[in-house]
Order: sequence, then structure tokens, then C-alpha cells
Amino acid sequence: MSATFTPEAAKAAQSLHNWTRFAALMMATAGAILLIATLVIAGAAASKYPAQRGLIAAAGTAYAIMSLAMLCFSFLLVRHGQKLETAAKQHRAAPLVEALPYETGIWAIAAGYVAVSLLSIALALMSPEARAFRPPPEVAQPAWQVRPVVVDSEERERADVVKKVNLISGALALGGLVLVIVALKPAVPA
Amino acid sequence: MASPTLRKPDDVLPPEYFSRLAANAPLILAIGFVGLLFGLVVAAFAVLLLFQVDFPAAAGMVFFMASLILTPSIHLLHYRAEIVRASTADGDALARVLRQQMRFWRFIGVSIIVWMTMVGIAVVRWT
Repeated sequence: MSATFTPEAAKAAQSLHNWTRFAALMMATAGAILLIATLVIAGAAASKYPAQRGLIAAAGTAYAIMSLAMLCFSFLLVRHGQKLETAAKQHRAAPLVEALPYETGIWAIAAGYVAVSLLSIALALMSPEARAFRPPPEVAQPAWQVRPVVVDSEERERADVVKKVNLISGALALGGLVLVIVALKPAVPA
Repeated sequence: MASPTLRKPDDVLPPEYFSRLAANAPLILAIGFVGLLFGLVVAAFAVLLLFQVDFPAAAGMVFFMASLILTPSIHLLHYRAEIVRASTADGDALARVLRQQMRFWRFIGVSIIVWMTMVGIAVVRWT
């Protein structure tokens, strides 16, 4: 027995299209910014440190490839989303099948990205600087127990800023925890 | 004349649809699993920071970054589970698969905005 392309699935395909378009736009923007920043920073660094040109060129090329991969990724995402939209609007299952090669391409690029990231982390961990690294000794007072000693108005001001930053960071951490907990629940069709 | 309860042929998913979709499952599992491990390492580092530095804000921010890595990885692993679970006989399977994929891309889109904002603030602050 074959499954039908239900109205519920059509609705899900339409909202998936909307969010893939949004994600593709964001990724293309980030990729373009990264590419421009790489060219500008690598150019400036190469003129300031001519002796390190080889290293700067290698790092610049790596970042340029990364940003081009992001642009390519967003293109595939847009095409994938377009097929989903066609399926949803015309209520036909055939475009869903046509979207599959784009999806495979998306996951293949993502896997390549992860593999290259792991390789670069492994290379960084094997460097002499990383091997020489020793963690700082434990502080006498754990971070959450530290209370700034208030002596004068300047120190009171600084303590207020630290308190505000700690509060913002605590809220961010709590928000992050909520995101993870919500993600743990699987999605159910509305 | 066809009965109105009969499905239109183009409404029916080809029988090989879910098996072709499942061909992506190993890649998705690998990406999700690596992301999950990396996110857990960053979260552990955040906990370590609480003991090693006297500035708790650093730990909070690192934990937030860990959650930005952990959340899409969990969405991906759920997506992979839905793909593997989907069968040609289940009419709701496609809706569940699409909805789970939607959750992943929604998070990716929003988190890219968050990352770009954080980088933007850092660049403005330190230049």
C-alpha cells in the first residue's frame, strides 16, 4: 500500500519551503560577508606581513572555499525548497521525488563541511602550542560564589556592570537550555 | 466514473520515495552525531569554566554557544529517526518527516542571524 500526499503533508511542505528559503537567504548572506571579509582581511594582512604571505594565502583560500561552499549550499537549499513549494501548491507528489537529489547534495556538502572541520580541529590539537597548553589552576572561589568587594563609587560602578553582564549571560544560558529541552521533543503534525 | 474516495494517481507517493530518502540517513546520522558530541564537549567546557575562572558570564556564553550546536544536532537525529521509521503504508509519515526537517532549517536560519549579530557586536565593540 502506498502513502498519499495528504493535505497535512502539503501544509508541512509549504512551511518547510518557507523556512528553507529563509535559511538559504541567511546562509547566502553569511557566505557573502565571509567571502568579502576574507578578501579584505587577507589583502590587508598580506601587505602588512609580507614574510607570512604563504600562510595568509593558505588561510584565505580555506576561508574562501568555506564561503563558496556556503553559497553553493544555499543554492541547493533554494532549489530543494522550490520543488517542495511546487508539490504543495499543485498537490502533486512527483516534485517531492525531484527534490531528493538536491537534499542528497545538501547533506553531502554538510558532511564534507563537518569532515573538514574535524580535520582542522585535529590538526590544531596536534600543534606544538596546543600540546604545550596547560589549564589554569582551579580558583579558590568558584565563579558563582565570587562577590565583588565594593570599596568606592568607581568599584561599585564596575561591580554593577559585571552583575549586568552576568545576568545577561545567565539568561542566555537558560534560553539555550530551553532550546535544547524543546528540541528533545519530536515534532508531531499539527 | 471513479469514486470520489479513490486517490488521484499523482497524490500517491512513489513506493521507492522513502527508501530513496532513507539513503541519506547515514550521512544525517554522522552529521548529527558529530554535532552532538561537539556540542557536549563545548557544554562540558562551559561547566569547567565555572570552576576555572572567576567570571561566570564566560561560562554562560559558552553554554549558550553549546546549545546553538546541540539543538540542530538533536533536530537532525530526530529527522533521521523519522526517515528510518517512515514506511510506504503510513500516510502521516511524510508530514512528520517534512515537519521535522522544517524544525531543523528554521533553527539554522534563526541561529545564523544570532551568530551574525554576535559577530557584528564583537566587531563593533573591539574596533
